Amino acid sequence: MKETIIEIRNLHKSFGTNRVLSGVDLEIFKGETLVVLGGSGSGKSVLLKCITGLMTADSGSIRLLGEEIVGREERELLPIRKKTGILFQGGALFDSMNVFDNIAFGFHEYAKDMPQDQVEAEVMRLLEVVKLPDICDKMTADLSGGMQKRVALARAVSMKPGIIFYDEPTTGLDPQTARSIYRLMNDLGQRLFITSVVVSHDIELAFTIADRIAFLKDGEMVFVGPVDELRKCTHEGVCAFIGPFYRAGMMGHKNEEMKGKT
Amino acid sequence: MNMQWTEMRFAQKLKSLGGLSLQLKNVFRHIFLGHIRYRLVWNEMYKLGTRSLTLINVTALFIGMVFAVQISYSLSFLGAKYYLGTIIGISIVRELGPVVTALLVAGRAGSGIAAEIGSMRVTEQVDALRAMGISPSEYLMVPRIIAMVIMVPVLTAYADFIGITGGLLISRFQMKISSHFYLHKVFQMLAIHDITSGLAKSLFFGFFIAIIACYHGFSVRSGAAEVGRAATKAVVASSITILVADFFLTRLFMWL
Repeated sequence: MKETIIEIRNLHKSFGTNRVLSGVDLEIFKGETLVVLGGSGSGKSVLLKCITGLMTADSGSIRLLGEEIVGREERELLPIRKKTGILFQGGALFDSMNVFDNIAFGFHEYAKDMPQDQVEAEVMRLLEVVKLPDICDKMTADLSGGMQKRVALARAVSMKPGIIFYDEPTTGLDPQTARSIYRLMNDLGQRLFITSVVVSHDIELAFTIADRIAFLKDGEMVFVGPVDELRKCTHEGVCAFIGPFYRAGMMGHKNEEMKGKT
Repeated sequence: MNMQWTEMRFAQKLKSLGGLSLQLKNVFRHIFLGHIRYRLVWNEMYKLGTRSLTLINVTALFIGMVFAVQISYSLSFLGAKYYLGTIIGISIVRELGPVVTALLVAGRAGSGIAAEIGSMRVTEQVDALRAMGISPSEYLMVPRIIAMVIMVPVLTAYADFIGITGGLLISRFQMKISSHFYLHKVFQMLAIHDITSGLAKSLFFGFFIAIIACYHGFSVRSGAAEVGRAATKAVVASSITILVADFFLTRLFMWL
Protein backbone atom coordinates (compact mmCIF):
# COMPACT_ATOMS: atom_id res chain seq x y z
CA MET A 1 0.00 0.00 0.00
CA LYS A 2 1.55 3.28 -1.13
CA GLU A 3 1.63 6.09 1.38
CA THR A 4 0.06 9.33 0.09
CA ILE A 5 2.27 12.30 0.90
CA ILE A 6 0.37 15.00 -1.02
CA GLU A 7 -3.35 14.90 -1.70
CA ILE A 8 -5.05 17.52 -3.86
CA ARG A 9 -8.82 17.62 -4.21
CA ASN A 10 -10.93 19.86 -6.47
CA LEU A 11 -8.39 22.68 -6.55
CA HIS A 12 -9.41 25.99 -8.15
CA LYS A 13 -7.35 29.09 -8.78
CA SER A 14 -8.18 32.18 -10.86
CA PHE A 15 -6.55 35.54 -11.48
CA GLY A 16 -9.45 37.91 -12.02
CA THR A 17 -11.51 36.36 -14.80
CA ASN A 18 -8.66 34.11 -15.92
CA ARG A 19 -9.22 30.57 -14.60
CA VAL A 20 -5.84 28.91 -14.18
CA LEU A 21 -6.71 25.73 -12.28
CA SER A 22 -10.15 24.11 -12.56
CA GLY A 23 -10.93 21.27 -10.21
CA VAL A 24 -7.50 19.62 -10.09
CA ASP A 25 -7.31 16.25 -8.30
CA LEU A 26 -3.97 14.57 -7.70
CA GLU A 27 -2.31 12.17 -5.28
CA ILE A 28 1.44 11.94 -4.86
CA PHE A 29 3.01 8.93 -3.13
CA LYS A 30 6.02 8.74 -0.85
CA GLY A 31 9.33 8.15 -2.62
CA GLU A 32 8.03 8.54 -6.17
CA THR A 33 9.05 11.03 -8.84
CA LEU A 34 6.00 12.67 -10.35
CA VAL A 35 6.41 15.01 -13.30
CA VAL A 36 3.63 17.50 -14.03
CA LEU A 37 3.78 18.10 -17.76
CA GLY A 38 1.96 20.75 -19.73
CA GLY A 39 2.38 23.56 -22.18
CA SER A 40 3.14 27.17 -21.34
CA GLY A 41 0.28 28.78 -19.42
CA SER A 42 -1.33 25.45 -18.54
CA GLY A 43 -1.10 26.23 -14.81
CA LYS A 44 1.85 23.99 -13.83
CA SER A 45 3.81 26.58 -11.88
CA VAL A 46 0.64 27.90 -10.23
CA LEU A 47 -0.16 24.34 -9.13
CA LEU A 48 3.33 23.99 -7.63
CA LYS A 49 3.02 27.31 -5.82
CA CYS A 50 -0.39 26.35 -4.46
CA ILE A 51 0.94 23.00 -3.19
CA THR A 52 3.79 24.73 -1.38
CA GLY A 53 1.51 27.47 -0.07
CA LEU A 54 3.49 30.18 -1.85
CA MET A 55 0.23 31.07 -3.59
CA THR A 56 -3.24 30.89 -2.05
CA ALA A 57 -5.75 28.62 -3.77
CA ASP A 58 -9.31 29.93 -4.22
CA SER A 59 -10.97 26.68 -3.14
CA GLY A 60 -10.38 22.98 -2.80
CA SER A 61 -8.10 21.02 -0.52
CA ILE A 62 -4.35 20.33 -0.43
CA ARG A 63 -2.95 18.04 2.23
CA LEU A 64 0.82 18.27 2.36
CA LEU A 65 2.52 15.81 4.74
CA GLY A 66 -0.84 15.32 6.44
CA GLU A 67 -1.51 19.04 6.97
CA GLU A 68 -4.17 21.07 5.18
CA ILE A 69 -2.60 23.99 3.29
CA VAL A 70 -5.62 25.81 1.85
CA GLY A 71 -6.93 28.57 4.08
CA ARG A 72 -3.93 28.54 6.41
CA GLU A 73 -2.13 31.75 7.35
CA GLU A 74 1.42 32.36 6.15
CA ARG A 75 2.91 31.98 9.62
CA GLU A 76 1.20 28.58 10.01
CA LEU A 77 2.66 27.44 6.69
CA LEU A 78 6.28 28.33 7.52
CA PRO A 79 6.92 25.28 9.75
CA ILE A 80 5.35 22.95 7.16
CA ARG A 81 7.57 24.34 4.41
CA LYS A 82 10.69 23.62 6.48
CA LYS A 83 10.06 19.93 5.74
CA THR A 84 10.19 20.51 1.98
CA GLY A 85 12.72 21.87 -0.49
CA ILE A 86 12.07 23.87 -3.62
CA LEU A 87 14.30 24.32 -6.63
CA PHE A 88 13.10 27.51 -8.30
CA GLN A 89 13.17 28.07 -12.03
CA GLY A 90 15.97 30.65 -11.88
CA GLY A 91 17.70 29.07 -8.89
CA ALA A 92 16.69 31.98 -6.60
CA LEU A 93 20.10 32.01 -4.95
CA PHE A 94 20.67 34.94 -2.59
CA ASP A 95 22.81 37.25 -4.68
CA SER A 96 24.19 39.11 -1.66
CA MET A 97 25.87 35.89 -0.49
CA ASN A 98 28.53 33.60 -1.92
CA VAL A 99 27.95 29.93 -2.75
CA PHE A 100 29.04 28.72 0.70
CA ASP A 101 26.69 31.06 2.56
CA ASN A 102 23.79 30.15 0.28
CA ILE A 103 24.16 26.45 1.06
CA ALA A 104 24.97 27.03 4.72
CA PHE A 105 21.92 29.30 5.07
CA GLY A 106 19.66 26.53 6.35
CA PHE A 107 22.24 25.35 8.90
CA HIS A 108 22.71 28.90 10.19
CA GLU A 109 18.94 29.25 10.54
CA TYR A 110 17.92 25.90 11.95
CA ALA A 111 21.05 24.28 13.31
CA LYS A 112 22.56 27.16 15.23
CA ASP A 113 24.35 24.82 17.65
CA MET A 114 26.13 23.01 14.82
CA PRO A 115 29.90 23.70 15.02
CA GLN A 116 31.29 25.76 12.15
CA ASP A 117 33.69 23.00 10.99
CA GLN A 118 30.74 20.61 10.75
CA VAL A 119 28.78 23.17 8.71
CA GLU A 120 31.79 23.53 6.42
CA ALA A 121 32.09 19.77 6.03
CA GLU A 122 28.38 19.45 5.24
CA VAL A 123 28.52 22.25 2.64
CA MET A 124 31.55 20.65 1.00
CA ARG A 125 29.77 17.26 0.93
CA LEU A 126 26.71 18.83 -0.74
CA LEU A 127 28.92 20.58 -3.29
CA GLU A 128 30.55 17.25 -4.08
CA VAL A 129 27.12 15.68 -4.54
CA VAL A 130 26.21 18.34 -7.11
CA LYS A 131 29.67 17.96 -8.70
CA LEU A 132 30.86 21.49 -7.97
CA PRO A 133 33.56 21.02 -5.33
CA ASP A 134 35.66 24.17 -5.79
CA ILE A 135 33.31 27.11 -5.96
CA CYS A 136 32.66 27.95 -2.30
CA ASP A 137 33.91 31.52 -2.45
CA LYS A 138 32.30 32.46 -5.75
CA MET A 139 29.45 34.93 -5.83
CA THR A 140 26.28 33.57 -7.41
CA ALA A 141 26.37 36.15 -10.22
CA ASP A 142 29.66 34.59 -11.40
CA LEU A 143 28.06 31.18 -11.99
CA SER A 144 26.51 29.86 -15.19
CA GLY A 145 22.81 28.94 -15.30
CA GLY A 146 23.55 25.23 -14.86
CA MET A 147 25.90 25.85 -11.94
CA GLN A 148 23.32 28.08 -10.27
CA LYS A 149 20.73 25.31 -10.57
CA ARG A 150 23.14 22.81 -9.00
CA VAL A 151 23.99 25.12 -6.12
CA ALA A 152 20.28 25.81 -5.63
CA LEU A 153 19.69 22.07 -5.58
CA ALA A 154 22.39 21.64 -2.93
CA ARG A 155 20.69 24.36 -0.87
CA ALA A 156 17.27 22.78 -1.36
CA VAL A 157 18.39 19.38 -0.05
CA SER A 158 20.67 20.74 2.69
CA MET A 159 18.04 20.35 5.40
CA LYS A 160 17.15 16.80 4.27
CA PRO A 161 13.57 17.50 3.14
CA GLY A 162 11.05 14.70 2.68
CA ILE A 163 9.76 16.24 -0.55
CA ILE A 164 11.51 18.32 -3.14
CA PHE A 165 9.68 20.45 -5.66
CA TYR A 166 11.36 21.33 -8.94
CA ASP A 167 10.01 24.26 -10.94
CA GLU A 168 11.18 23.90 -14.57
CA PRO A 169 14.61 22.55 -13.56
CA THR A 170 16.02 22.37 -17.08
CA THR A 171 14.63 25.55 -18.62
CA GLY A 172 17.33 27.63 -20.26
CA LEU A 173 19.97 24.89 -20.09
CA ASP A 174 21.72 23.22 -23.01
CA PRO A 175 20.83 19.51 -23.54
CA GLN A 176 24.06 18.23 -21.99
CA THR A 177 23.71 20.33 -18.84
CA ALA A 178 20.01 19.44 -18.70
CA ARG A 179 20.90 15.72 -18.74
CA SER A 180 23.39 16.24 -15.92
CA ILE A 181 20.56 17.81 -13.93
CA TYR A 182 18.33 14.76 -14.70
CA ARG A 183 21.04 12.48 -13.37
CA LEU A 184 21.43 14.58 -10.27
CA MET A 185 17.69 14.56 -9.61
CA ASN A 186 17.57 10.81 -10.07
CA ASP A 187 20.55 10.32 -7.82
CA LEU A 188 19.18 12.51 -5.03
CA GLY A 189 15.77 10.88 -5.23
CA GLN A 190 17.30 7.44 -4.85
CA ARG A 191 20.06 8.17 -2.37
CA LEU A 192 17.95 10.20 0.04
CA PHE A 193 14.61 8.54 -0.78
CA ILE A 194 13.12 11.97 -1.44
CA THR A 195 9.71 12.35 -3.04
CA SER A 196 10.16 14.54 -6.12
CA VAL A 197 7.49 16.67 -7.73
CA VAL A 198 8.73 18.16 -10.97
CA VAL A 199 6.92 20.79 -13.00
CA SER A 200 8.21 20.99 -16.54
CA HIS A 201 7.44 21.13 -20.23
CA ASP A 202 10.59 19.14 -21.00
CA ILE A 203 9.33 15.82 -22.43
CA GLU A 204 12.75 14.18 -22.36
CA LEU A 205 13.06 15.00 -18.67
CA ALA A 206 9.59 13.59 -17.97
CA PHE A 207 10.21 10.34 -19.83
CA THR A 208 13.69 9.96 -18.33
CA ILE A 209 13.06 10.43 -14.62
CA ALA A 210 9.33 10.08 -13.96
CA ASP A 211 7.69 7.19 -12.14
CA ARG A 212 4.36 8.78 -13.01
CA ILE A 213 3.35 11.71 -15.18
CA ALA A 214 0.47 14.13 -14.65
CA PHE A 215 -0.63 16.16 -17.65
CA LEU A 216 -2.21 19.59 -17.22
CA LYS A 217 -4.13 21.15 -20.07
CA ASP A 218 -5.75 24.56 -19.64
CA GLY A 219 -5.87 24.15 -15.88
CA GLU A 220 -7.42 20.67 -15.94
CA MET A 221 -5.66 17.44 -15.08
CA VAL A 222 -6.33 15.34 -18.18
CA PHE A 223 -3.99 12.43 -17.42
CA VAL A 224 -2.25 10.91 -14.41
CA GLY A 225 -0.42 7.62 -14.68
CA PRO A 226 2.79 5.74 -15.49
CA VAL A 227 4.92 6.73 -18.47
CA ASP A 228 3.85 3.76 -20.61
CA GLU A 229 0.19 4.64 -20.14
CA LEU A 230 0.89 8.18 -21.31
CA ARG A 231 2.11 6.78 -24.63
CA LYS A 232 -1.26 5.08 -25.06
CA CYS A 233 -3.30 8.11 -23.93
CA THR A 234 -5.68 9.23 -26.68
CA HIS A 235 -6.41 12.70 -25.33
CA GLU A 236 -5.94 15.17 -28.17
CA GLY A 237 -3.93 17.65 -26.08
CA VAL A 238 -1.58 14.94 -24.78
CA CYS A 239 -1.00 13.47 -28.26
CA ALA A 240 -0.23 16.91 -29.72
CA PHE A 241 2.14 17.74 -26.87
CA ILE A 242 4.26 14.61 -26.71
CA GLY A 243 4.43 14.02 -30.47
CA PRO A 244 4.55 10.80 -32.52
CA PHE A 245 8.13 9.71 -31.64
CA TYR A 246 7.53 9.58 -27.91
CA ARG A 247 4.11 7.96 -28.48
CA ALA A 248 5.62 5.26 -30.63
CA GLY A 249 8.26 4.58 -27.97
CA MET A 250 11.08 5.52 -30.33
CA MET A 251 12.26 8.11 -27.82
CA GLY A 252 12.13 8.66 -24.08
CA HIS A 253 12.67 5.30 -22.42
CA LYS A 254 13.39 5.55 -18.75
CA ASN A 255 17.08 4.93 -18.46
CA GLU A 256 17.51 2.45 -15.61
CA GLU A 257 21.29 2.64 -15.97
CA MET A 258 21.18 6.31 -15.16
CA LYS A 259 20.16 5.56 -11.63
CA GLY A 260 23.32 3.65 -10.93
CA LYS A 261 25.51 5.98 -12.93
CA THR A 262 25.96 8.90 -10.55
CA MET B 1 -15.18 57.51 -17.60
CA ASN B 2 -13.54 60.02 -15.23
CA MET B 3 -15.68 58.75 -12.38
CA GLN B 4 -14.64 55.18 -13.10
CA TRP B 5 -10.98 56.18 -13.18
CA THR B 6 -11.33 58.04 -9.88
CA GLU B 7 -13.07 55.08 -8.28
CA MET B 8 -10.38 52.75 -9.55
CA ARG B 9 -7.62 54.99 -8.18
CA PHE B 10 -9.43 55.25 -4.86
CA ALA B 11 -9.79 51.46 -4.69
CA GLN B 12 -6.07 51.07 -5.49
CA LYS B 13 -5.13 53.52 -2.73
CA LEU B 14 -7.34 51.68 -0.25
CA LYS B 15 -5.74 48.40 -1.28
CA SER B 16 -2.28 49.92 -0.80
CA LEU B 17 -3.23 51.17 2.66
CA GLY B 18 -4.58 47.72 3.51
CA GLY B 19 -1.35 46.07 2.34
CA LEU B 20 0.74 48.56 4.28
CA SER B 21 -1.30 47.97 7.46
CA LEU B 22 -0.86 44.20 7.15
CA GLN B 23 2.88 44.59 6.75
CA LEU B 24 3.01 46.93 9.74
CA LYS B 25 1.09 44.39 11.80
CA ASN B 26 3.59 41.67 10.83
CA VAL B 27 6.57 43.87 11.61
CA PHE B 28 5.29 44.86 15.05
CA ARG B 29 4.40 41.24 15.82
CA HIS B 30 7.97 40.15 15.07
CA ILE B 31 9.46 43.02 17.07
CA PHE B 32 7.24 42.35 20.11
CA LEU B 33 8.00 38.62 19.93
CA GLY B 34 11.70 39.46 19.88
CA HIS B 35 12.30 38.04 16.40
CA ILE B 36 15.15 40.46 15.74
CA ARG B 37 18.26 39.43 13.83
CA TYR B 38 20.88 41.66 15.40
CA ARG B 39 23.59 40.76 12.90
CA LEU B 40 21.36 41.89 10.03
CA VAL B 41 20.39 45.06 11.93
CA TRP B 42 24.08 45.84 12.38
CA ASN B 43 24.81 45.19 8.68
CA GLU B 44 21.98 47.48 7.64
CA MET B 45 23.13 50.21 10.03
CA TYR B 46 26.62 49.99 8.63
CA LYS B 47 25.35 50.15 5.02
CA LEU B 48 23.05 53.06 5.81
CA GLY B 49 25.76 55.03 7.56
CA THR B 50 28.53 54.47 5.04
CA ARG B 51 26.29 55.00 2.01
CA SER B 52 24.83 58.26 3.27
CA LEU B 53 27.85 59.86 4.92
CA THR B 54 29.44 61.58 1.92
CA LEU B 55 26.10 62.87 0.71
CA ILE B 56 25.28 64.26 4.14
CA ASN B 57 28.72 65.82 4.55
CA VAL B 58 28.46 67.78 1.32
CA THR B 59 24.77 68.65 1.54
CA ALA B 60 24.71 69.69 5.21
CA LEU B 61 27.90 71.76 4.86
CA PHE B 62 26.57 73.70 1.87
CA ILE B 63 23.08 74.10 3.33
CA GLY B 64 24.66 75.59 6.46
CA MET B 65 26.83 77.89 4.35
CA VAL B 66 24.07 79.01 1.97
CA PHE B 67 21.67 79.56 4.84
CA ALA B 68 24.28 81.66 6.63
CA VAL B 69 24.96 83.73 3.48
CA GLN B 70 21.24 84.40 2.94
CA ILE B 71 20.53 85.26 6.58
CA SER B 72 23.64 87.36 7.07
CA TYR B 73 22.53 89.93 4.44
CA SER B 74 19.17 90.46 6.15
CA LEU B 75 20.74 90.54 9.60
CA SER B 76 23.40 93.03 8.52
CA PHE B 77 20.67 95.24 7.07
CA LEU B 78 18.87 95.16 10.43
CA GLY B 79 22.13 95.59 12.36
CA ALA B 80 21.69 92.20 14.04
CA LYS B 81 24.45 90.15 12.42
CA TYR B 82 25.64 88.86 15.80
CA TYR B 83 22.47 86.78 16.01
CA LEU B 84 23.59 84.68 13.04
CA GLY B 85 24.67 81.77 15.28
CA THR B 86 21.37 81.79 17.13
CA ILE B 87 19.27 81.63 13.98
CA ILE B 88 21.48 79.04 12.30
CA GLY B 89 21.54 76.83 15.40
CA ILE B 90 17.81 76.82 15.99
CA SER B 91 16.84 76.45 12.31
CA ILE B 92 19.23 73.60 11.65
CA VAL B 93 18.63 71.64 14.84
CA ARG B 94 14.86 72.03 14.89
CA GLU B 95 14.00 71.87 11.22
CA LEU B 96 16.61 71.78 8.49
CA GLY B 97 18.76 69.00 9.94
CA PRO B 98 15.99 66.43 10.47
CA VAL B 99 14.07 67.20 7.26
CA VAL B 100 17.03 67.46 4.89
CA THR B 101 18.70 64.35 6.35
CA ALA B 102 15.46 62.39 6.05
CA LEU B 103 14.95 63.52 2.44
CA LEU B 104 18.54 62.57 1.58
CA VAL B 105 18.25 59.17 3.24
CA ALA B 106 14.91 58.58 1.49
CA GLY B 107 16.57 59.33 -1.86
CA ARG B 108 19.73 57.37 -1.18
CA ALA B 109 18.81 54.44 1.05
CA GLY B 110 15.01 54.31 0.67
CA SER B 111 15.24 53.85 -3.09
CA GLY B 112 17.98 51.26 -2.55
CA ILE B 113 15.82 49.24 -0.14
CA ALA B 114 12.82 49.30 -2.52
CA ALA B 115 14.98 48.26 -5.47
CA GLU B 116 16.78 45.53 -3.51
CA ILE B 117 13.59 43.93 -2.18
CA GLY B 118 11.89 44.44 -5.55
CA SER B 119 14.64 42.62 -7.39
CA MET B 120 14.55 39.85 -4.76
CA ARG B 121 10.83 39.48 -5.52
CA VAL B 122 11.45 39.28 -9.25
CA THR B 123 14.21 36.68 -8.91
CA GLU B 124 12.11 34.59 -6.47
CA GLN B 125 14.59 35.13 -3.61
CA VAL B 126 11.71 36.25 -1.39
CA ASP B 127 9.84 33.05 -2.25
CA ALA B 128 13.03 31.10 -1.53
CA LEU B 129 13.02 32.55 2.00
CA ARG B 130 9.37 31.57 2.44
CA ALA B 131 10.13 28.13 1.05
CA MET B 132 12.76 27.67 3.75
CA GLY B 133 10.22 28.59 6.40
CA ILE B 134 11.56 32.09 7.01
CA SER B 135 9.22 35.05 7.19
CA PRO B 136 10.35 37.73 4.70
CA SER B 137 9.00 40.47 6.95
CA GLU B 138 11.13 39.16 9.79
CA TYR B 139 14.23 38.66 7.66
CA LEU B 140 14.03 41.66 5.32
CA MET B 141 11.79 44.29 6.89
CA VAL B 142 12.46 44.21 10.63
CA PRO B 143 16.26 44.71 10.39
CA ARG B 144 15.88 47.52 7.86
CA ILE B 145 13.24 49.33 9.91
CA ILE B 146 15.21 49.08 13.15
CA ALA B 147 18.42 50.16 11.42
CA MET B 148 16.67 53.14 9.85
CA VAL B 149 15.01 54.19 13.13
CA ILE B 150 18.43 54.16 14.81
CA MET B 151 20.53 55.60 12.01
CA VAL B 152 18.39 58.52 10.80
CA PRO B 153 18.62 60.30 14.19
CA VAL B 154 22.38 59.55 14.31
CA LEU B 155 22.84 60.96 10.80
CA THR B 156 20.64 63.93 11.72
CA ALA B 157 22.82 64.75 14.72
CA TYR B 158 25.85 64.52 12.45
CA ALA B 159 24.17 66.71 9.79
CA ASP B 160 23.32 69.28 12.49
CA PHE B 161 26.97 69.43 13.47
CA ILE B 162 28.18 69.77 9.86
CA GLY B 163 25.48 72.37 9.03
CA ILE B 164 26.42 74.49 12.04
CA THR B 165 30.06 74.17 10.98
CA GLY B 166 29.10 75.46 7.51
CA GLY B 167 27.48 78.48 9.14
CA LEU B 168 30.60 78.96 11.23
CA LEU B 169 32.78 79.17 8.11
CA ILE B 170 30.63 81.99 6.67
CA SER B 171 30.40 83.69 10.03
CA ARG B 172 34.19 83.55 10.51
CA PHE B 173 35.43 84.37 7.00
CA GLN B 174 32.66 86.53 5.53
CA MET B 175 30.98 88.19 8.50
CA LYS B 176 34.22 88.45 10.53
CA ILE B 177 32.48 87.16 13.66
CA SER B 178 34.75 85.12 15.91
CA SER B 179 34.16 81.37 16.05
CA HIS B 180 33.87 81.47 19.80
CA PHE B 181 31.16 84.14 19.69
CA TYR B 182 29.27 82.30 16.91
CA LEU B 183 29.26 79.03 18.87
CA HIS B 184 28.32 80.86 22.06
CA LYS B 185 25.28 82.26 20.23
CA VAL B 186 24.43 78.85 18.75
CA PHE B 187 24.25 77.21 22.16
CA GLN B 188 22.88 80.20 24.07
CA MET B 189 19.36 79.90 22.72
CA LEU B 190 19.38 76.22 21.93
CA ALA B 191 17.37 74.29 24.53
CA ILE B 192 17.45 70.55 25.18
CA HIS B 193 13.88 70.41 23.92
CA ASP B 194 15.01 71.76 20.51
CA ILE B 195 17.60 68.98 20.20
CA THR B 196 15.33 66.19 21.42
CA SER B 197 12.36 67.27 19.29
CA GLY B 198 14.59 67.40 16.18
CA LEU B 199 15.99 63.94 16.87
CA ALA B 200 12.58 62.52 17.79
CA LYS B 201 11.17 63.78 14.50
CA SER B 202 13.99 62.11 12.63
CA LEU B 203 13.21 58.84 14.39
CA PHE B 204 9.68 58.96 12.98
CA PHE B 205 11.04 59.94 9.56
CA GLY B 206 13.35 56.92 9.64
CA PHE B 207 10.41 54.65 10.38
CA PHE B 208 8.34 56.14 7.55
CA ILE B 209 11.18 55.86 5.02
CA ALA B 210 11.85 52.21 5.86
CA ILE B 211 8.24 51.02 5.92
CA ILE B 212 7.37 52.85 2.68
CA ALA B 213 10.49 51.54 0.91
CA CYS B 214 9.85 47.96 2.06
CA TYR B 215 6.20 48.19 1.08
CA HIS B 216 7.00 49.36 -2.45
CA GLY B 217 9.74 46.73 -2.76
CA PHE B 218 7.31 43.95 -1.81
CA SER B 219 4.69 45.36 -4.22
CA VAL B 220 6.87 44.46 -7.22
CA ARG B 221 5.40 41.54 -9.13
CA SER B 222 7.64 41.12 -12.18
CA GLY B 223 10.15 42.81 -14.43
CA ALA B 224 13.02 45.24 -14.13
CA ALA B 225 10.83 48.20 -15.11
CA GLU B 226 8.62 47.57 -12.08
CA VAL B 227 11.70 47.53 -9.83
CA GLY B 228 12.64 50.98 -11.13
CA ARG B 229 9.11 52.26 -10.63
CA ALA B 230 9.03 50.90 -7.08
CA ALA B 231 12.25 52.74 -6.24
CA THR B 232 10.86 56.00 -7.65
CA LYS B 233 7.51 55.58 -5.90
CA ALA B 234 9.29 54.88 -2.61
CA VAL B 235 11.26 58.13 -2.85
CA VAL B 236 8.24 60.23 -3.86
CA ALA B 237 5.96 58.74 -1.20
CA SER B 238 8.63 59.01 1.52
CA SER B 239 9.43 62.64 0.63
CA ILE B 240 5.78 63.67 0.76
CA THR B 241 5.23 61.75 4.00
CA ILE B 242 8.28 63.37 5.58
CA LEU B 243 7.12 66.89 4.71
CA VAL B 244 3.52 66.32 5.81
CA ALA B 245 4.55 64.47 8.97
CA ASP B 246 7.03 67.24 9.77
CA PHE B 247 4.19 69.75 10.13
CA PHE B 248 2.17 67.54 12.47
CA LEU B 249 5.18 66.39 14.48
CA THR B 250 6.34 69.98 14.89
CA ARG B 251 2.90 70.93 16.22
CA LEU B 252 2.93 67.89 18.49
CA PHE B 253 6.35 68.61 19.95
CA MET B 254 5.51 72.30 20.45
CA TRP B 255 2.38 71.23 22.30
CA LEU B 256 4.37 68.80 24.44
